[in-house]
Parts: sequence; structure tokens; C-alpha cells
Amino acid sequence: METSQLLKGVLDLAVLAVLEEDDGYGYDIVRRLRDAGLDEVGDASVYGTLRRLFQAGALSSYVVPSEEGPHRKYYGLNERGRSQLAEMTKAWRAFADTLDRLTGAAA
Amino acid sequence: MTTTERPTLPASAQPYLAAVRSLLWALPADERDELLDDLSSHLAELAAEDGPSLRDRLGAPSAYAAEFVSSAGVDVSATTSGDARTWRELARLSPSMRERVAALRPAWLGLRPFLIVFGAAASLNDRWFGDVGAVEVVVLAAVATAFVGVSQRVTGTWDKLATLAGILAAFVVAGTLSTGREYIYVDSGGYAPPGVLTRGDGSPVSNIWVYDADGNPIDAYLYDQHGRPLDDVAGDGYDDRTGERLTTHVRVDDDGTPMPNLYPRPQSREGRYGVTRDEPPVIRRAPATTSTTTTTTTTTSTTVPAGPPSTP
Repeated sequence: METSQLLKGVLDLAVLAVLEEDDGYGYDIVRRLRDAGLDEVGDASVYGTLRRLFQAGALSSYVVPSEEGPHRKYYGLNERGRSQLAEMTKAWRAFADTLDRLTGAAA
Repeated sequence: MTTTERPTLPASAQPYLAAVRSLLWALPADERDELLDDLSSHLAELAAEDGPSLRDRLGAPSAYAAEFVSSAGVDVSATTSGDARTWRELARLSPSMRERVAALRPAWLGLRPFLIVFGAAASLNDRWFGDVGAVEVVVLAAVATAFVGVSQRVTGTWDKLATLAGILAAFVVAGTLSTGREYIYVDSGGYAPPGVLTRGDGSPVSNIWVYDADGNPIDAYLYDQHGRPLDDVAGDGYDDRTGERLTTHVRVDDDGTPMPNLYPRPQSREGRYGVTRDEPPVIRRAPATTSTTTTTTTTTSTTVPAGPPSTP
């Protein structure tokens, strides 16, 4: 099954959900998504998504200097991001329930 | 605000940044630099990691860039710099987009000649060129379009076919326009459409004024020597003396039945002073009563039409 196709529609939700746990920088978020089981998530799409959510005002960002290597740009949820996450979660639940019923899957 | 130091990047990371940069040309410079800074730190971090090479990890630079731009929702068409570039950049976005764009391009190439031809035709000024000039320029525009089509980097069979088809179609349309409005040039300086009533010098008769023996304008049905209605005065056209555009209407009776040989016809002229409705011409040798018949008698009623200035 083409997980990457499915992922496209819900990457915003996944990124927002990861950021709700804790702020993170780009690469860190990629890793956390992968660790959570989204193996196929692409580095570039995560970066693109972060940029888009930031532009849309759902994220705040700050730079943290690092000892070794480059400074890191951290992202975190702001108010708008949190309400967007709540909304998308609700929509996702409804959607997933519907598909569960359609496919006859056990809940 | 938040700017990061530009990290040192391994050589293997450069193609990825370059590919993204090439897709972001439409963005303002500061926005683009900020994005590229972000990506550089990401790439530096990846490169510093043990494990698969960047290439294995990220795929081809072009795919990486396309994935980034499409998920970032960056509008790369925000500024255009020539349609070739736009098409190229759009086509890079994603494989599916590339297919769609590729499917559209021939349509665009075919449509373009029309746009150029009608753009040229629409911008023509009747006062400068007249109708004959307009047709010629339209044909010229089609020829110019042909050169545009050939000189552009039009590659690929479909592109070529589409461009050719568009050019041919533009010619056909231009040709149709020209045959539909063919005018014969005559020495008097006027243009008489073929088949309309003309004077001895070839200038078109666009209206007929009839006066009674007292010099009053009257309405009259006109017939030729065989009793055929004389209905072929020039309709729309240009005044052969002033160059004003004339619009002539066939008169109708109360039931709306056209009476093509009833004169004078209502006529308006569009010239330097806007649109005016023609008044009865001043006739030089009016029989008895008046010379300027502006006090038009009841016979002409409200439909007061026009005619060439008189010199009987």
C-alpha cells in the first residue's frame, strides 16, 4: 500500500501532533515521526510542511545555538496551532471511523 | 529576526540546495535565503551522521526540491519571466504535475497564435488603417506568429504539431475575416463594398434622400427600371469623404417587417464628435420654399436618416 500517498494528506496533522509533545527542530521532527512509525516520511516534505505551517501562523520558532554544528531553528505550537491540531484531530477521527466502517475493519 | 549561521556543508549537499534554489526563484530574496539556511542546517546534520549517503537517504536533488516546494506550498508562479521558464519550473514540481503541464503545453502553443492575432486586430485603430489595413495587419500578425512559433524552443512532436495547427487556424480565421469584409479601393478615396449601389466615380451610396417639388424631404419606396426594389445601398461602412463610421438601418413597418427600399434610412455616423444621427443634407437648389430643411415636415416623422452631403 502506498503509505506515502496517504501521508500527504495527514502530514500536517502528524507534524502538529509531534510538536504538541515537545518543541523540535526540523531534523528532530523527522526522526520523531519515523520513530513513531511513519517510516516513509520524507525529509523534504517535513521541512516543507514546517515552513507552510509557520507561514500560516500555526507555529512559533526560535533559534537555539548548538555547541557542535549549526544553530538549530526550533518550532513550537502556538494558540492557532493548537486549535488547528484539535480541529484536524476531530476531522481525522471522523474520517478514520468512516473508513473503518467502509472496510469493515475492527475498531 | 531568526537567522542562523550558514553552516559548512559537504560537497554532496550542494546539489540539493542548488535544486531547491532553482525552484524558489519566484520568492523574495530574504525569504529564500531563510529557507535555504534552514535546509542547509538540515543537510549538514544529515551529512554529519553515520549511515547512508545523502543520495541514498534523500533521493535525487530534483525530487528532493520538488517535494520540499510542493509540501511548503510555495507559489513558484508568483513572478513570471518568460513562459518557457514558467513551464520549465512548473514542470519540475512533481511527476504528476509534469504530466499535467506537458498535456497542457500543446494547447497553449496552439492558442497563442490566436491571442497574438486577435490582440493585434483588437489594438488596431480604424482611423489609421481602415478595414483593409486591419485585415492586412491581421495576416501579418499571423505570419509574425509563425516566426515566433518556429524560433521558440518548440521541441517535441506534439508541440510542433500544436504550434502549426494554431498558426494554420489563425490564418484561416484571418482569411475568413478578410473575405467577409472585402473592400474595393476606388479613386474617389472611398471604399465600396462589392455589390452596393455606387456613384459614377465608384464611391458608395449609403443613403438616399428624396425631396418633393417644394423642397421638402419625403419618404419614398425606390425601384429600378425592372421594378426591382432598390435596396442595395451600402450598409455599414465609412463615409467616403470624412472617414467617419456609418451605421445604416433598414426601416421597418409597424409590424416589424423590413422595408429595405424605403428611403431615407436611419443612419448614424461615429466620428470626431461621437455618434451623431444624420440630418437631411442641405440641398443647394431647393425648388421653391426652403433651402435648409431642418424644419423637417411631418412626412419624415421621427426616423431622420442620413446621406452623403449634397452636391447634386
